[in-house]
Amino acid sequence: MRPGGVEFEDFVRTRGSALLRYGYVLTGNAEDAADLVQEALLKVSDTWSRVRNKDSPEAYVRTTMARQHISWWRRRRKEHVIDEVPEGAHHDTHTFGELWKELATLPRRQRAVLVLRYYEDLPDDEIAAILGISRGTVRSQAFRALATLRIRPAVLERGRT
Amino acid sequence: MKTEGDLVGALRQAAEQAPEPDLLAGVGERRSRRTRRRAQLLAAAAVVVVVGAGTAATKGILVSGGGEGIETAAQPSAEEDRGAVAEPTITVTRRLGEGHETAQPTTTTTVTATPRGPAGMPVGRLWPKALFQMPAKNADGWRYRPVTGINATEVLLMAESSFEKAGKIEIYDTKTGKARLVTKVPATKGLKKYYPQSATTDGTNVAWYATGTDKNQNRVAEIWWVPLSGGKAQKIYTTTEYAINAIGLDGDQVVWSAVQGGVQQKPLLGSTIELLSDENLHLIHWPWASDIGDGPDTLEANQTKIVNLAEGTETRITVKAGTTGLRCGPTWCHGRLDDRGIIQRPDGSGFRRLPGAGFMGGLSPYPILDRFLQSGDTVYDLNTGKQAAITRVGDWWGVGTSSEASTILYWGVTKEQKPARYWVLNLAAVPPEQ
Repeated sequence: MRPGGVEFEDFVRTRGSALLRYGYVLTGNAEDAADLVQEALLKVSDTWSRVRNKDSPEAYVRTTMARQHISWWRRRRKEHVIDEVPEGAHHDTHTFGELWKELATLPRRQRAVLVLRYYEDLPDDEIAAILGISRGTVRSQAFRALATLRIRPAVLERGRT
Repeated sequence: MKTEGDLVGALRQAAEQAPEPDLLAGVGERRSRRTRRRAQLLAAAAVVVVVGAGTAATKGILVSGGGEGIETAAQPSAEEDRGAVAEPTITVTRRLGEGHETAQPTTTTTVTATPRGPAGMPVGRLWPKALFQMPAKNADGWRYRPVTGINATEVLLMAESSFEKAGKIEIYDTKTGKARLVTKVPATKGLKKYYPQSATTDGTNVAWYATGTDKNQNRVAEIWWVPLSGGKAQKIYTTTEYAINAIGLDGDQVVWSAVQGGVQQKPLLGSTIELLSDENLHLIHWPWASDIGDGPDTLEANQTKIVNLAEGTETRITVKAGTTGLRCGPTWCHGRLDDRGIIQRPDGSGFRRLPGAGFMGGLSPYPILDRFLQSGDTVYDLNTGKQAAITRVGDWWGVGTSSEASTILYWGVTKEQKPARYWVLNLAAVPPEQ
């Protein structure tokens, strides 16, 4: 017996916040983040018995979210709402807030590449596998995105695994 | 000029502003909305659905291999659904009890149409030889998890000392009503989170893969085998390079494919590993392979070809426009079109729409034995067009855990979550034209 429903709920309860944070940095606003996470979870719950057999159901959900975000997702919601990052005590808040706003100007795929590289801390070949694009494309997308954001790349290639 | 460090900081800080909605409630709401949409579609299509025993229409939500159809069936018909389904009321023959054990007294009542319910002849009447009861625990008191039917009378079982920790492989034989030990399932020392995964059998041997994490946090995948006649399990392959997601047996060879695709072969007694195709194929059931994996992005994608790895031949699949999730064995395909399940042959012939939202399959999305589709309470025979209805007293059911689509469906004889005995449907015991 595989009581899929129960396990799925446990998964959502324990990992939901982390998924929402990830959804938030991918989409840039609270409403889209919640939508993205819930749609991905609904999709995954349909086939939970298969998903839960994977090495990491969470990685699977995150992959679903990244791909969903850059593919059909964009057709659903045209307008962008950018949440302001509230002023905080952090001395870099100003820079961070500015960068956060600038991220919203990037094409979705470029943004996803940056999120996977700098938030998820993944090497380029894994990013390529997640987004279904070549490693060369990951690098060129990241290069362009960093140029738009006027960020100096510290390393030209990130191959750490 | 800003730095990468600033970007990391910006993302981390922003993440702290993420919303905290009630995700489970949100997912539930989305599911109901989808169900209502489907109910409307079904009503518009004037599909008449016969609902069998009362249990299956309102329960069966904790299924494994759960499909969309199941969730639809699991929705109690709320007031707004009644509106959505519009007027059609149907007559329901309510069978009391299992329905397939003996002739039961029936009562007839009229209810509002539920989107789906088990339709067809009671499984015990349609395929009496394929349905039987067996103990749910082995001699050690460990719970059985059926894997698949080896043939018409024997079922391969994993006995678990605790949840998902396979302890022994056994075979239950319906002829003798007894189980026998094949082997103890060893766990590799030094690996954490060690779980035996899917197994496969060709009637002579059994092979399975297992996963664990080593002390450097590397994911490790292993392949093991043992003759069904019994003996000590042998580990014949270990890798940290990739994850395995399908395994098969070809005589004295074991065959497997990686999550990313790529089918490899190795002798059970030998060391040469051979890559069977340059393409990123995914093993379905030896010798058949698909160009589509079962990753999150491919649930909607259509398979475009089926490859016979033994002969090196491939068949292109004809896909009707609008179809999603098409999966084909050598003879039959199933998929979805306009929110309905469909079947066809790989060349596009034999196209039919199925009642309801379709059959989602269990752990493997391909037709079982290239012949059956199951949705937990219904099993559809693609060869004969007959449909078997399963009624249960409890609220769960399970599918076998083999790598290829399992021939086994099982559920409790009694209502408990952990019943003492299982009802088992072994589709390998259904004769060819029955």
